[in-house]
Amino acid sequence: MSAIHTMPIAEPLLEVRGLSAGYGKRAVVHDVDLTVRAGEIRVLLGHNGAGKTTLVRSVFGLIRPSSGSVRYRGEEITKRRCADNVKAGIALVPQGHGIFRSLTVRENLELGAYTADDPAATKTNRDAVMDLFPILRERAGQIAGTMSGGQQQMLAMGMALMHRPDVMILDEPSIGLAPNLVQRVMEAIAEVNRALRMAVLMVEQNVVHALPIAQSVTVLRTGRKIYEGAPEPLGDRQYLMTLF
Amino acid sequence: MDLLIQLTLNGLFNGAHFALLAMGFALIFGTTGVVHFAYGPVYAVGAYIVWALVALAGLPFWAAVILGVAATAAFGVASYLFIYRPFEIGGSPPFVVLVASLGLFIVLKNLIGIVFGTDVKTVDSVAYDVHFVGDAFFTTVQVGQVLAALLVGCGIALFLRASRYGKAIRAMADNREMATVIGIDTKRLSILVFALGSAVSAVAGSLVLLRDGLNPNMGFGAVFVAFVAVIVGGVGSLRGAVIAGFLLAFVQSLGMWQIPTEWQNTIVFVVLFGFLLARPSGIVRRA
Repeated sequence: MSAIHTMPIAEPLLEVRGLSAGYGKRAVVHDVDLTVRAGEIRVLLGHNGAGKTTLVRSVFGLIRPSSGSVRYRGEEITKRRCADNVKAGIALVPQGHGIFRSLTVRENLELGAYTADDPAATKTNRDAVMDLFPILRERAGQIAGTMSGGQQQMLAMGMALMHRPDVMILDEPSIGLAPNLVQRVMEAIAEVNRALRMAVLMVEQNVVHALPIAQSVTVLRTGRKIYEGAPEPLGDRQYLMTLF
Repeated sequence: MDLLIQLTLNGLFNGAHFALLAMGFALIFGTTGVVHFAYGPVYAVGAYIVWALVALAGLPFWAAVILGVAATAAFGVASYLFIYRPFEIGGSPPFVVLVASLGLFIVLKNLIGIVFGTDVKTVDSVAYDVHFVGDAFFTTVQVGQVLAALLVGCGIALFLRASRYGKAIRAMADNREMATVIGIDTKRLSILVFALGSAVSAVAGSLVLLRDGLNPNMGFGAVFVAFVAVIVGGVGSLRGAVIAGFLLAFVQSLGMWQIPTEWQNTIVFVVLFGFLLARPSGIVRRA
C-alpha cells in the first residue's frame, strides 16, 4: 500500500468544486470540493445522512446540483445527462438494487453496454467481465433477482464495467451484505482497480472494510467536508472518533 | 348445452379483444408507471377515426385501419408529452398524474360526443360471414379478433425479447432509475410505449367497430377491463395481462349462464377483489 503514495500524483479525472445539492428546498450537501485522480480508489466516508449519496448522484447527473461545478477530464459536465456521462466513461453502481431483477444475468450485462455502439467490443468486454467474475458466466442464463446478495453486487459491478469506464462510482457496495461477503466485494473492487487501472469513487459507511483498499479518503459530516487525505490517520481509532 | 357452447365461444372471442386492450395498457402502465385512464377514450378516438375514414371518406377498411392506428399512436404520444410529461418533470406524485389522466378522460369522451354525436356508429360497407357450430355461431370479425390478438401478442413478445429497444423497455419497467443510470433515454422509451400501446388499442377498436359499432362511452369499459386485467395478470407481465384478459372474458361470459347481463362489470370486480385478496402480485409473479 505504501508504494502508492510515493508515486507521482496522477492527473485529476473528476473535479468537484463548491458543489451544493439537495432535494427541493432542503440542502443536503454544502460547498464540497472533491477530486478523483486517474487510477486511484477514493473512499467517501460519513454517517447516514451525511450527504454522500446525494453528492455522488449529483456528480453523475441523477440530481441537479444547486450550485458548484463538476469537471471530467477538464471538461465541464455539471447538469449533463446521465447517458452522456456514461458514454464519456463514468459509471455509477447505485445503492441496493443496481440490477434488473427480472432479467437474466446475460441481459443485464448486455444492458450495461447500452450506450456502446460496437457489438464486437461489447462481446469482448462481456468475456472480460465474466473472467473477472466467473460466477456471472456460470449464472449467465439465470434470472438476476434469484441470485444471492453478493452475486447481485458482482453483477451490478459487472454491468458498470461493460462499457469500460475510466471511473466507477460505487454507492455503498457493502450494504446488506454479510461481513465475509463485504470482504470479497472489497477485494473485487481493489482487483478491478488494479487490473483495469480504473479510478474508483466509493461511498462507504463500513470504515473497517473500506479503509484497507482506500488510497485517499474524504469524510463528510452533515453535508460538509471535514477530512481529506491519506487513509492511514483514520486507522487510528481515537482520531476517527474525533472526526465522527 | 348450446347456450354453454355459445357462451364459451363468446368468452374466447371477447377474451381476444380484452387481451389486445390489456397488452396495450400493460405496455404503457408497466413501463412508465402512468395510470393512463385516458387510454380508454384514446382507443375510442382511434375507432372513430377508422369509422370516419370508412363511412365519410370512403376509404377501404384496411387503409382506414392503417391510418387509424397511426393516428391513435400519435394521440397517445401527445397525451404523454403534453399531459403526463410536464408532471413527471415537475416530480409530481402518481396521484396527481392519475387526476390529470381522469381529466383527459372526461375531456376526450365529451369531445367525441360533440364531434361525432352520441348515436351508435357502424359501417355497413364491410361484409363478413357468420359461421355455425350446431346452433351456436360466430362471425369472421370474431375470428379476426383472435388472429389480431395472436399476431400482435407474438409480435410484441418477440420485440421485447429480442430487440435492443425491447430489452430497454423491459429494463425500464423493472427498474427505472437503473435504466437512467446505464444511459437509457427514458423519455424516448416512454414515447415509444405510448405509441405502441395506443396503436395496439386501435387494432382492437377497429375490430370492435365491425363487431358492435361505436359509442362515446366505449372507452370506459375498455380501460376498465384493461386495468383490471393488468392488475390480475401481474403488473409488468405481458403474458399475465393476456391470460387475465381471457380469464375475465370467460368469467363474464360464463357468468351470463346464470347471472343477468347487467352484473357483468360486477363479475369483473369480484375477480379483481378475489385476486387482490388471495394473490395481490397477480397471476404471473415477477422475480
